[in-house]
Amino acid sequence: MISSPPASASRIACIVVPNFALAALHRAEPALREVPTALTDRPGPRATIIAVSDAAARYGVRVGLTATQGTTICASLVFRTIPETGSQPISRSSHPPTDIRTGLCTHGPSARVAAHATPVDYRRTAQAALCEVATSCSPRIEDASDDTNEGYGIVYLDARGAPFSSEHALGAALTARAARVGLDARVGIASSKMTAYLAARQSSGVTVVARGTERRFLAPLPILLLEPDPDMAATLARWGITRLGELACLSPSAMGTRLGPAGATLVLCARGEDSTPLVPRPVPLLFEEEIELDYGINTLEPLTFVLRGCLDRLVARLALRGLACGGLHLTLGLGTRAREERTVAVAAPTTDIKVLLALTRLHLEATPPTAPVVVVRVVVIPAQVRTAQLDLYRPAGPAPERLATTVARLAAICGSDRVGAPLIVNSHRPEALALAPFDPETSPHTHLEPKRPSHLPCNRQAATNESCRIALRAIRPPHLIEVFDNRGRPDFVRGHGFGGRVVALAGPWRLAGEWWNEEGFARDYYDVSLSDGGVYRIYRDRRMVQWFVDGEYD
Amino acid sequence: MGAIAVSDLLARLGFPATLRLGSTAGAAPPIPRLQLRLGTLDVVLGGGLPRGQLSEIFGPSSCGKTALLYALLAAAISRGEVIALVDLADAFSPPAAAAAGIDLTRTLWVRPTSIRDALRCAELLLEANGFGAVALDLGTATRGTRLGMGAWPRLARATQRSETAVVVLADEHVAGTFAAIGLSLRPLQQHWSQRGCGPTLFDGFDTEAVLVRNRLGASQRAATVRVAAA
Repeated sequence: MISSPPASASRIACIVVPNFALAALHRAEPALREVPTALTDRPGPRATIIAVSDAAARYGVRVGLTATQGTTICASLVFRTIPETGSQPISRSSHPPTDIRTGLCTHGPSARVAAHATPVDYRRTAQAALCEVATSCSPRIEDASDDTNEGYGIVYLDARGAPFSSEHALGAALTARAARVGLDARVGIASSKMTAYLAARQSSGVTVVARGTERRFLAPLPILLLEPDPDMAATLARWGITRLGELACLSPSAMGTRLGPAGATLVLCARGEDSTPLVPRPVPLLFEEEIELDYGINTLEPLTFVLRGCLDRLVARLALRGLACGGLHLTLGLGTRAREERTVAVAAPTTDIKVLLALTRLHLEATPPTAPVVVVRVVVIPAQVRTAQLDLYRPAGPAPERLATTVARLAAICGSDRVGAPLIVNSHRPEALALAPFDPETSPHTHLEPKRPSHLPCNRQAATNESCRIALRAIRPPHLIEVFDNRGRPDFVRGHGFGGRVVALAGPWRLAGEWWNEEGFARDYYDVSLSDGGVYRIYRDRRMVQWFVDGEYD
Repeated sequence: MGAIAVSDLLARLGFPATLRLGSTAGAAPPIPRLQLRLGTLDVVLGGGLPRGQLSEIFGPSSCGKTALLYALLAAAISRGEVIALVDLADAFSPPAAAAAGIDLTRTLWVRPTSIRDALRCAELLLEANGFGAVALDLGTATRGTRLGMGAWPRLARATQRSETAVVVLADEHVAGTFAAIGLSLRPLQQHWSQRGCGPTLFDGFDTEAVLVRNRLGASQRAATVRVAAA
């Protein structure tokens, strides 16, 4: 564990993802990593390019060109649009989400995009993933992004007391975990926020600025990295100050006199004495991923492929918090501008992507979307991983995740009302039936008999029980039968698939109930042995004056 | 493979030159079995129904096949195992099963509507790998129904990949050569009683269980089982 310095001496780590909008896009659509890609500020051919991928830059596409100019330079250039700054996030606070944005996102210069269509903002989910990375290393983190969508791609965390051997190890862990969620991050660790940010921004990988060396580290950096306002930048340029080291030589009070408080702060930042505190904020437990498709999908196979990408990213984020998926909210934006919301139940919390994908697929097979899908959003309900406690004296049953998948598949085949654990209903009506969700892990332990090796042949002296209990095979629903009676007692029975003379008979046993409503019953039950060899339970419905068979003793 | 691995394998399996006919060295390990806890019948079966094999119990109406099935399921549950019942006949009676000793909370009851679905459900349950016993109650659904050629071999293969005792319940022999055990039941005598002027009661019946097929040992052995009402 990193030793804790005195309380006054803070150590702050800063995670920075350069070119964050493009990184977020590549995280959501990994297939675009090697494709020339450009981000524009709005849809349409006159849109301005605000970010380009390395592949596009190699073609000569530059920031500031229009989409048409970009296409002229590189015909295969793929465009994506960044939503306007300040656009309302979908579901920061709502759960499950209540809104979905539909419409085409991909557009070439001549592509027609619906006027009201707002593209999906991948930066939001990528920023959430970055926060998960920071949270996995420290509970005190500050998300630099705010409601106006500024500060994307920057997260600060308290580096003191982190469970790592050194600050370099902490930085390495942060970059490795960021890579796990699909982000290529840089890390800077220093005594102040600004120094940590500049350290992360200036060099790739991990940069640790040791205590007391901040001024020396910052000295060669250009002054524009502090992003002074244009007037102040012009004044400093007029004074011939271009490096932070030159600025740090000035007196903060003198700078404050001439340029105001902002000037004094700028000098302190240049010295590495920035006093802006870390403002930790709790990270909401909202795990959401969404993707916008190039064209509507109306078959299950490609939709499953898309869902797999979302689930991969979500499970990676869950793993950083040590959580599992306890359920899924699936929102499908349709080409008809409608949306469908579904909830996929997961019987046991799991991080197995195959299981989640199978359950989602089964759900979609049972109720397919009514129109081609253009937007997919998946929200995971986080849950603690349920570990199965093995018993010394009890054989291991099916694994909870596999059991959940199996039950879901069985329900897809038979219907959800035909799969489960049977219940004995508190009713006098013999045909009363109910099912409960099958969960053997939570069932009370039954009395276990002493175990003996099952492969040994049974000993006659050890097992002398030669009888078993008779079972009643239910006939659902009770079949109407024809009964010839002799003075009220059945003498001959004829039903579907069986019949014969009654050779032995027991009964009647009168059963009546629910007389207070219209569905009451009043029956006389008989056990009859027929000449065909079968023993059946039959009854005479005293309300309908008809005979039924509802069981066979077997 | 190094010499050590080869010698280790030979030590485990036995050297071919030193093996003698009838010796146990190199023999296949004993097949684990699930006892029904019915003395004579377990002896006839060689210790119970084999795990990882397909077994059949069949017979006419009121021959006791359901009672034997419940005894088997109750025995599995008493060992702490989880069981599943694919009930194509929709004949499972929870009160009767509970009375026979089946813990319903550890019983997965699946009610398919066609024989193909029933076989598919059984395969899925075997793929889940962890059920002590899987029962497939076909009832009379096999009468006049032609199954695909691959249905039973596929189920048999799925059974062999698991350590589950799979039991098919039907009114006739349906699984053909793919069943390792075929137990035919024949009702013998019914028992009715009347005490004094009291009502007549059905006390149960005796049934004869004949091992008509046994791929793992001797067949044509029989046992009489009492199926009692209480």
